[in-house]
Amino acid sequence: MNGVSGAPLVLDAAGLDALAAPRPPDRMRALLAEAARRERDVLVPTVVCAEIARGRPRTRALEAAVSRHDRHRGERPAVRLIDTDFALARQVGAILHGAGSGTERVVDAHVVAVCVPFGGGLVVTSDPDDISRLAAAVPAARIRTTSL
Amino acid sequence: MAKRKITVTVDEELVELVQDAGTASLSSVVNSALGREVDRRARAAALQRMLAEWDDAYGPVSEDDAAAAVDAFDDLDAVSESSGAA
Repeated sequence: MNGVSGAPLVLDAAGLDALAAPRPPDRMRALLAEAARRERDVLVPTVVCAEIARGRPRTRALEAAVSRHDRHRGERPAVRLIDTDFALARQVGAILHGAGSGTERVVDAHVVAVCVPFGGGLVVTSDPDDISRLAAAVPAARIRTTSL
Repeated sequence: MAKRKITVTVDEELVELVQDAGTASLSSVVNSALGREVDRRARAAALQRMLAEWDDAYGPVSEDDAAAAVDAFDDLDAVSESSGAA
């Protein structure tokens, strides 16, 4: 089998910001290209968008990044937003509790939590230490971080 | 949505596992699996288009960045293999 059962590329705010940039950094493009080559999903917990949707220009860039597709042709966005349902919220709570973290880490805990159903994931983050601390609460999930 | 009757060939073991799980309708399982696959392929195609647009606009990424991305995924997958999962 190729890889961690299709473990996805997951973007935190830094990754999403890079995706929405007028010219995405080469490092981000390379990660997305490798994800495509390995047929991995690119996921963003929807709540991460709250950290980027600040001001009209940035919000418009975000909207373009997460929704660029033609609905009439049956296309989908390249990035899949993961809404917070009860099951995900429960997982987030368990991660925060297990890591001894407070609610201020709730968005990072979402990033970790969306990896869990896949058994792991590669997280693009500017806070690798925070993500790793939270990931320690779900040792069965194989979560790695990378920065831009 | 209108339904269409088709004939498909699937692994016998998978059919037995689905039936053992008490699934009422095999058709609903197949329909759901097809839906997920269509979604996955459409997103993969969108990602390829996006990458191609960036390549056209900005040129290819550096070899160092490409190698670092490969290393990052290799590291993830190596963790999986050493844990016996996957």
